[in-house]
Amino acid sequence: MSVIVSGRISQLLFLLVYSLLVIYGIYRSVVQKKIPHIRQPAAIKALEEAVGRCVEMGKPMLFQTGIGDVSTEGVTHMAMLSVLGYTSKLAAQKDAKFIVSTPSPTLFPMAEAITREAYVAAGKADKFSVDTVRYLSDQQMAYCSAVMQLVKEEKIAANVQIGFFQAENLITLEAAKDAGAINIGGAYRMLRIPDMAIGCDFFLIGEEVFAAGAFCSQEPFQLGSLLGQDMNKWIALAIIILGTVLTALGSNVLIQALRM
Amino acid sequence: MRKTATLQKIGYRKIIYLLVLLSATIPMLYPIGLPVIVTKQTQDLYEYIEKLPSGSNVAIEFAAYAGMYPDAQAATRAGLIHLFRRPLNIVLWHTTADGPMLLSGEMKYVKMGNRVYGKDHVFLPYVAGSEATTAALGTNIRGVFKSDSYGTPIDQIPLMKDINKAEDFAVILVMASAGGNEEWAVRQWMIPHHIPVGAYTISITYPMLIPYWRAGSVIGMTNGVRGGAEYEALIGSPGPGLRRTDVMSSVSLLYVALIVVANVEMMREKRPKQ
Amino acid sequence: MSKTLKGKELPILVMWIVVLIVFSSYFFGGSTLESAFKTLTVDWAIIITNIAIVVGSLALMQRSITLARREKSDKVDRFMQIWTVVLAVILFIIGTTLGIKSNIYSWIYNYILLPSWQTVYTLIIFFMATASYRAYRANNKYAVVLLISGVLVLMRNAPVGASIWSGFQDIGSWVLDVVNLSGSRAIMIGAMIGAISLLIKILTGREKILGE
Repeated sequence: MSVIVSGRISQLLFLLVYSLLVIYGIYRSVVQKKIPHIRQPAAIKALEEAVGRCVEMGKPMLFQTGIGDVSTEGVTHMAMLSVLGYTSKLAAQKDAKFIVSTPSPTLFPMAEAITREAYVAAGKADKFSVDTVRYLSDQQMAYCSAVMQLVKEEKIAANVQIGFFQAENLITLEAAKDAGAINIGGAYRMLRIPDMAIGCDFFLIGEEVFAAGAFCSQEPFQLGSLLGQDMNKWIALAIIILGTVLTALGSNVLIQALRM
Repeated sequence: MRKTATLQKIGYRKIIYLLVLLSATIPMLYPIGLPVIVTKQTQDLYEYIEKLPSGSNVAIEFAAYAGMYPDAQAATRAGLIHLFRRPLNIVLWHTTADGPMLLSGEMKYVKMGNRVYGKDHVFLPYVAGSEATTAALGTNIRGVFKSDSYGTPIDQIPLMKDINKAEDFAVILVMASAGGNEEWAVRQWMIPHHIPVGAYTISITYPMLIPYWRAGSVIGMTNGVRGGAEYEALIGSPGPGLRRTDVMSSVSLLYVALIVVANVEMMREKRPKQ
Repeated sequence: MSKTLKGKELPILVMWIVVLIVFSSYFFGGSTLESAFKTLTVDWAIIITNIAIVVGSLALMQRSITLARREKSDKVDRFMQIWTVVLAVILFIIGTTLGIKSNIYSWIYNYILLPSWQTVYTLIIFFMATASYRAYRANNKYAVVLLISGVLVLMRNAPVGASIWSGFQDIGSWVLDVVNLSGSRAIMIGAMIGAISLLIKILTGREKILGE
């Protein structure tokens, strides 16, 4: 009797290989001090510019945490919280008015804690108020209406939407555009990438959202993990090419191996 | 100068909104009735359901969100009519809080015929959670649901006597999902348990499911309102889908016109002034 | 004790336990692990969701009351803030005492809530129109590709497309079934690899979400 459930052996193997490569990337960067040079996406650079724009125009920046519970889309929310920490620190340092809106009751305390911490770390604890982080509604369309009103009332100059969004995504992006704000977005779901592509001035696609924390912090540990991620992508590409060639030649060895 | 100031004052947005309003309203009042070509994905889904042997167990994950429901309503209603028309055993559960209310609205259009609740169809209640819940249902339904929507213990329901896991079903159908539930079903029912997945879904989710359809993990799917209209045409039961296709056509033509106008304006602006 | 609770170590330990249970139940199976998996992911998800609803509702009410009491709020604002709180309480009472299948709850749901939500959703068609006008411009070669593929898929989806030219159906389907397919797969694979990397960073406590 097999210890590993049938049909999942190759999956376990891939998971182990991928994890080891990420760990290797981190080891190479932190211990061996061979820090990889990583191209920073335009969306991350734009965050700093967006904060500067808000300060110049005297208008606030809106950061939307994204919809859904931590229990349903935890990984994306974790990535978003990294960006929130970075952005709120920037906003606190430059004295920009910063508003965080969230439709998730589970994300609300997390977002509040991270934003408050950023303000305290920047020495601007007095600038953080109960109005900084706003829980609007967990109903998608009610949240959407509330954001549209918020955007118009507060006259925001920059709107950040990196994380997990649903149909309200396009509406809130266009509402922000209508108010004259620049949009910085990021989505890993295929559904939302077209919305981001047409609604945002800068955006992160796919795995860039998960790597956003690394892009923001530029720490060796984080950059090393990006190296591991890229090595994994090369492996995936090699498997795809090998599989294409083998299948074209009439062999299904690789397919059988992947189904193990 | 005065003309430019007036146009700027009105703003292009208001003109566009007015055009959208007209292009959506006029076909509703004066429908044209353009024919709908059935796509392969919808055809595959229909044929799979049609060819299921009598007495097959069908699992339905009803994942409807109230806000987005109009996009999936036509396909969902047509799908339910088709499924209940065929001699299949249906087990349905909800993964959204809006599901029970929306389903009760759709069931008014479904002819039950000789169906007996508890013997050939069961409605299980709403369960919160996500992919983990889908995974748990695939291994042990009784671990998640103790009773049906009416409070009857699950062990007292005749249909559920031999049903407790994914392998007891011929197919799982995800209805009216806002996106994501289909992927969960593929990962947690198709890959580990080899149960095919079908989707009656919104138009935004449709392109995302094409890789799965190509790979054979998803047996077929509908594409929002248009998919609903196609499915209505296949089952011979006109409904909201076929009524809305003219609106879809006119608004799509408006979008193309706006794109053309925008690009013409852009080229005019780029042309060097003489 | 409070230092342990406030520190990063406890959340990381809890995460490790959960991850090990979830992974082990998937790869190694077994009734004990599956039961633990179900308890963690389904039972606790239900508990957390229900608590979250209560926390969220209370937070929303508190905010509404705070806004209503602000001096700079005008009368209409104050009235709306208080009214929404009152309405929420009334609906809660109706839902819990009469049940969600009662006539009055069904009426409120079908004739007030549902149309409101669906109306906001249909705003998408207006915003898509303005987005089409604003964003679909052939500024560079990538924009041209986006523009052409977007129009082809749009005409493929619209029933009128086939009436104008039958080629829209075939070419649009090709764009969706071949071009979109390859792009989708690439993004999905990249995203899943990124998720594994993020998981490792979270498990090692190096992701900033757990504090400095």
